[in-house]
Amino acid sequence: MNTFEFHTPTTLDEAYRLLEAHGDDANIIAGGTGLVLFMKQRMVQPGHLVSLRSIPGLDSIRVEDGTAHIGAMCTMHQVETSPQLREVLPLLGETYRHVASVKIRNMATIGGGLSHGDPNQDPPPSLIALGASVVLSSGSGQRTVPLDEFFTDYFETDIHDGEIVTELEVPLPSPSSGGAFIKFLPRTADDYATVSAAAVVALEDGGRNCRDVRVALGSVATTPIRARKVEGAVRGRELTSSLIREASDLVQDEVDPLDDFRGSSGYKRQMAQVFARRALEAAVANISAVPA
Amino acid sequence: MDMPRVGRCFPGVKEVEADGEQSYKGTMQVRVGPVSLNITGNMVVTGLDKDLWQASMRVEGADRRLGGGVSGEMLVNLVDLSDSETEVVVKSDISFMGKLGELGQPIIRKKADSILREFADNISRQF
Repeated sequence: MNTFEFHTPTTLDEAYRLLEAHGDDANIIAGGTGLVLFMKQRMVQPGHLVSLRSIPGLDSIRVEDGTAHIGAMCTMHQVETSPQLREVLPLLGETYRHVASVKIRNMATIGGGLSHGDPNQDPPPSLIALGASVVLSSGSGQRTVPLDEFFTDYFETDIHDGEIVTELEVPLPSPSSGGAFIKFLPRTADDYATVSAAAVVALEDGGRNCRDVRVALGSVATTPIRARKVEGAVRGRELTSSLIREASDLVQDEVDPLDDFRGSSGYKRQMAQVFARRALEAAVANISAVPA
Repeated sequence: MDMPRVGRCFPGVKEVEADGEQSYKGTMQVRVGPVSLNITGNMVVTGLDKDLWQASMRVEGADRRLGGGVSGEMLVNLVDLSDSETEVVVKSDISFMGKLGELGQPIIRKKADSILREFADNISRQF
């Protein structure tokens, strides 16, 4: 690993100034579980690390006006075990519970994980399915980017120079809705998935038809993807098993997997179809208030 | 061939200047996944055939700080499709070394495709 200077700003303004002063030579560090690996491999060799750990207020969780606001410095374990989030957004805890191992979840932060831009991570599909957005803050203001537009390429995101992910906003799902996250892990429990999929389904009030649906997948392209064709095929219709099967087939046109040691591109394409179907079926099964 | 003008149509190319006859040097910033490279290198035009609308080039470049680089050959053909359309066919045999090479072929291939797509967009706006 190269030598670097470690900065511990105590305010966001101080962090913005450091990022501006050191430009491309600076990297933001949160939990460090992703960045430090790259630094050890010498993929990234920053001269300055700007730690967000000493900035107060970035690790709070609050639910208000139908939205959960989760500070970017919350650890994954914090989100996994938050009683407040478990009550209103059970899918979040269920998803973060599956990330790597407990040691990683105790260090890794939700903002750091998203900024890392790894297409194989577990949380993005669930967060995209839930309609989450990230808040990006910089010296010149704030902007909010929906997560399905946030990932731009392999390990690349829409974070501009000088911006810091400060919050994750997740809208609370409607009462007649259910969600699920599943992944295929043929190797070890803490490995990245070969394919992962998440779905959130909401039914029409008092009906059985699908009012809204979001399906997203991980490890099937250079970014996490939202399966809009699959969504379009089921939205407004009754979610029968044959419709779900038919709609899930459409995911094959939406994925573009990379060959790697977890599976060939062709294999992952087929698994994407299977996992999109299973995620939708599980989301429907998780709807708590299905009318008779 | 106006190499500096064509060269700047490649996304990430910062500068291109002549460095002798049919030889050019330049710098390019390219990001592939987590790796951001600042590649300095040169390109030599090894053949030009105006009858066939064909050019061949040898490119070499390296990022000394991170230890990554590229070297290889390119063959560019212009094919007349109609009065208003020209197809640019690029055949390349490029080796990626060091940190770039460690990312593996599937990623490099996807990145190369996206760079060429952007190059094609830029060049169609320029000419």
